[in-house]
Amino acid sequence: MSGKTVWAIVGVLFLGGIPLFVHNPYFLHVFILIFLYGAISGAWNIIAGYAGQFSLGHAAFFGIGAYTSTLLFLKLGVTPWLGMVAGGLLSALVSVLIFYPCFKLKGIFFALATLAFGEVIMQVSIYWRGLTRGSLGLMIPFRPSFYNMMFESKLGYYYITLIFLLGIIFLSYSIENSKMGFYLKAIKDDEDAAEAMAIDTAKCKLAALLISSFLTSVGGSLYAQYITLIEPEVAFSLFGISIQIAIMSIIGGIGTFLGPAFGAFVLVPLGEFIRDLLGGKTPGIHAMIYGIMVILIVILLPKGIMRWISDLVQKRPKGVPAKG
Amino acid sequence: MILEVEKLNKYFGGLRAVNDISFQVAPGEIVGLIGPNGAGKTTLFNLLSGFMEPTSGRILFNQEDISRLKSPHKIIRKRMGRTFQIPKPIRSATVLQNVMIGAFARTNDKQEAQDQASKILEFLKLADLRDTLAESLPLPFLKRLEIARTLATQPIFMMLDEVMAGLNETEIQELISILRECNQRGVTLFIVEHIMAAIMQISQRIIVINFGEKIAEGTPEEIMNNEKVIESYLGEDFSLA
Amino acid sequence: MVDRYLAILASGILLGGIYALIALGLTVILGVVRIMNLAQGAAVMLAMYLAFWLFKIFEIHPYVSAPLIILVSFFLGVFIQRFIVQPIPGAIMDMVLIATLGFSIFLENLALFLWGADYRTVHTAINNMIFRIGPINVSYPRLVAFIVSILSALVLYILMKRTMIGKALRAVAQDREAAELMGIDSKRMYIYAVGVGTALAGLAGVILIPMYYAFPSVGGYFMLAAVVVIFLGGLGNMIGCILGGFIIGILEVFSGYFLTTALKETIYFSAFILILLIKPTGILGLGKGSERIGT
Repeated sequence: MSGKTVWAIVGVLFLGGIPLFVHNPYFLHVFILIFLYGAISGAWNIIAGYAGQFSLGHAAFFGIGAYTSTLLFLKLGVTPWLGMVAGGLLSALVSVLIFYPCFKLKGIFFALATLAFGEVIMQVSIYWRGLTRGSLGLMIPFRPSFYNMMFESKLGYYYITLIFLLGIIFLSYSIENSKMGFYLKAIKDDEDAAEAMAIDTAKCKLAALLISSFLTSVGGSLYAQYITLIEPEVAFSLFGISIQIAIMSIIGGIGTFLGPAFGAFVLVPLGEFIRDLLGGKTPGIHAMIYGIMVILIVILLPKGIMRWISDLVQKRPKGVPAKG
Repeated sequence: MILEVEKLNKYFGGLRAVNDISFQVAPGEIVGLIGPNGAGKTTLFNLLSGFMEPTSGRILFNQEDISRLKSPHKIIRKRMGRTFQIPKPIRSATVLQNVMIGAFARTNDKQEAQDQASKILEFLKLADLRDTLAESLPLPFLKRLEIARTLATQPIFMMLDEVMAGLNETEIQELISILRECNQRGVTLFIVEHIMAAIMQISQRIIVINFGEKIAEGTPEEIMNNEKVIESYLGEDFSLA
Repeated sequence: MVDRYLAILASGILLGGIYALIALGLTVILGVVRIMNLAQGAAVMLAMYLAFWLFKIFEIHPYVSAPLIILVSFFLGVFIQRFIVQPIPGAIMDMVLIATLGFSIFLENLALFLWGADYRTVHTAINNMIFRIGPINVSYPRLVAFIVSILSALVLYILMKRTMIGKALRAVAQDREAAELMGIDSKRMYIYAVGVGTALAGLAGVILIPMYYAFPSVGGYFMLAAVVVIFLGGLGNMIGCILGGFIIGILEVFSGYFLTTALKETIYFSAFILILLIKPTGILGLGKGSERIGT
């Protein structure tokens, strides 16, 4: 059994075992948020970190997922377990119709186009009051059951989001080491060179986009089920979702399978802790400190946390051959 | 004929980069392409490999019309290979991984890709550097890496864009023998080069272009004595090294 | 009927002038330092607050305190470049974006902490003065905004083309190494460039406060608009920037009037998307490599 597998098993057991020791619902809540954000950051990482396409509109998928599963549940009684799949498929469709044509734009143009789309979709959802009740939002009446994907204690949500996160980490790891991962890396670095290697760059980017949008959407559905209240300004939020997951992935280490999770593990508790400490009495301070922390991390660890850790572990100075 | 080019034209706005070029390449040949800077050589490569679309004319690869194929990968799939004048490796990947990407064009199995890539690294004498990150390689090795990963796609026709620039005499001779070996294994070669001695040495036949037009075609001896060729190079700083 | 359209048009042009000003600042920074300063909006916001407080406490009209505010904004930019962007090893674009974003989050919440979320504006006699130009009424602050925008653009243009500093900035923008070889300290030029960029944002804040509200997240709103403008006009293209500003301003006012104001952002975002998909280099984009300052 390789070292990596051992670490993986230890990690899974550790995270899975935490609720045995930690009973404080607030701490469990923080973990749930970590897992959720880590997961959707990981989903973003697939299209941004692996394929190199920096979307700033992923909140669109998150929101579509949240609203689709919620509306299907409220209006037709469809279990969120199926609803989230439906939401995922819808998001995937939207990604093909709207985000895919943006692929011909490079770098920051792509980022801004996707940002614009995300904002447009948010505005539309606010405006389409007949469907979404606009800014009033939708509330899911709390009736715990497995079918309803609602639980009395936080444990249910804890394990669902944990499994979701682990699933995405595993998926990222598999992609990274597969032919697709190699191809995405080639595309990210230089698309012309990739084409010269007989890589169908359009097809690969599309595949990454479909996976990414589907998974982000599922995250939105899980979020809706946990919070039981969704509003367009939150579910489709540019700063709250799109930019947040980008920051987490980049700070944690973009293009690595653990990076986004690391980023979430650092930034979510930071945000919550500071808000808890200072937020109530003095508005704004927690976000101020959050902003400073982000700056400090960027200055001190510009390659992201993952890269920093792996450099430390392998004691690799520049120019020396790397171990694969 | 493995490649037939018929009256190929490429206009950029009013500028004619490639002007009515026609030529053929038979399977197994080593054909050289020379011409002063700006003559249109790289544009020709881009047209043949699908990175640019011709304004008019026909390109037949293995008797198949590829003139209107828009995506380069479709052409490369048909066993055409090309290198880039300025090497474009995947900087953050190792030498082995770079070549594996080429190998993946022929297999879906990671282990097989790795084995194939290793063999090619041996062939190109890059085996010692297999775990080095491409971004830390000096130019001569990057050029060899370009060839290595193009070879990994198992082309039957390979276009090489100035692979010898920047190499010293020994490295050039090494490369020439490697290319000859490739040719003997069945790869048709179409080579652009500025280093006269090298291209004269390796080519069986040479095509000369200037200002986007074919001005001469023949054996190395014929080309060296061709007045038009000499004229087009007058004032041009070409290397006899 | 025509009167109404003209009034709306005028309103759009005046709004556009402000967008153009903020976007010009971004363009200078983008053109010289090649970074997108995501704290630009925050600079506008801070300038607005500063002008407000100077008025509230010392009763100094914003137009009078303008030079001071512009100076302070300049130094804000100096701070950003020197202490936030410069220390980032390798100046990796993603990281710079995140760092300036982090700083804008910091500034926005600093304002929230210091001054609360209330909307603040400056009420002076001038606010209510109205000029009559032809068939339309134009409020004085808006007119000032427009004139100042145009003047600033001119001044900037002259600065860039005629003065030594301007030439040095352009030299660094075109070829940093060559400029260094000629003895130009590119690090210092970068600092000046960002300073000039934020100074423009500060100026925008000053002329905004008499007719607009200051609140902590006002920066984000203008930031988004300014980014759309620079892409519309072509990155690094100063004239395109101004044109783009007017287009966006007019578009916003028209769509706010004819459709509902809720969708007005949607309209100009959609227009932005269309432009990106049809001509990504912007209306006056000069094709690839049009990241050159000046035209």
